[in-house]
Amino acid sequence: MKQTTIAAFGKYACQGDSLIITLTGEIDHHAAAYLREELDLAIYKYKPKNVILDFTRVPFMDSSGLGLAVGRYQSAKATGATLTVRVGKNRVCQRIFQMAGLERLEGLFFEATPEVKEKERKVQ
Amino acid sequence: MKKELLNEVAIRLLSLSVNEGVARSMVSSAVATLDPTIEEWSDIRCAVSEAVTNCIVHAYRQTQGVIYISVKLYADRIIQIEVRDKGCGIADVKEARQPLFTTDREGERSGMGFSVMETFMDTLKVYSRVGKGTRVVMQKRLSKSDGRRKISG
Repeated sequence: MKQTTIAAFGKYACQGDSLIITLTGEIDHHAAAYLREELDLAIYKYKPKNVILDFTRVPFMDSSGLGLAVGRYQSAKATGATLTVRVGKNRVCQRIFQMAGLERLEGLFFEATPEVKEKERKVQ
Repeated sequence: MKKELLNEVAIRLLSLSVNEGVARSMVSSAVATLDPTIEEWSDIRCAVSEAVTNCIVHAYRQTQGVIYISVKLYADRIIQIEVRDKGCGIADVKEARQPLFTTDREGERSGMGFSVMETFMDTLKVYSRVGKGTRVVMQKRLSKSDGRRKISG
């Protein structure tokens, strides 16, 4: 499976009908401006049936990540694909995505793992 | 009664998008001295990122200007962050604060910036004058510390 890295922000690979985009960098407006072009190029090039946008390992995200996901949802839709936004246990991503009510969009799937109680946990 | 000011940090940045990360790091270093929980710490980082992005994307748009940030740490673990610009200003602050409102569809902005600040901080005040600039003041009270400082830098 061929993997393409996207600067310091993540990587993507095709797996069957899916384009799996794994983001690992901090997603702010600066990163999103760069990522949108790179990801659209990949979506239009591979024309997958599903685009999976994985935020699970993102150490930081603000509302720019939301704009990035909605924008890729539109690119996916234009090529006839669905978009899955995966956040795992990532609390900041969960809160921002849930705030926007993305699950209302047709053809967008939101995957999150219930939050572990980490109120008492501190940065090590 | 006015709270006792324990510490103050002032930051001046050019409105370049690369400085969004710089602003987050600098503010979170100042906040870390109060030993916040990981949740509080990441909430504050997110709110600062939104405020600074607004200055870059909206206030200064295609121009370049200076963003002024002040972090004040008060007694009783209250943090006040002020982000100020001398950009275009907001004509209707009430409208701008509505969730999903944005003037920048082209740039894929979600219109959730002020909503994120409101949700992640305790209070948010926005003062703006068209042609003069905008001042965003937000406060958050941290939960009690267990006395062990765990975030460094």
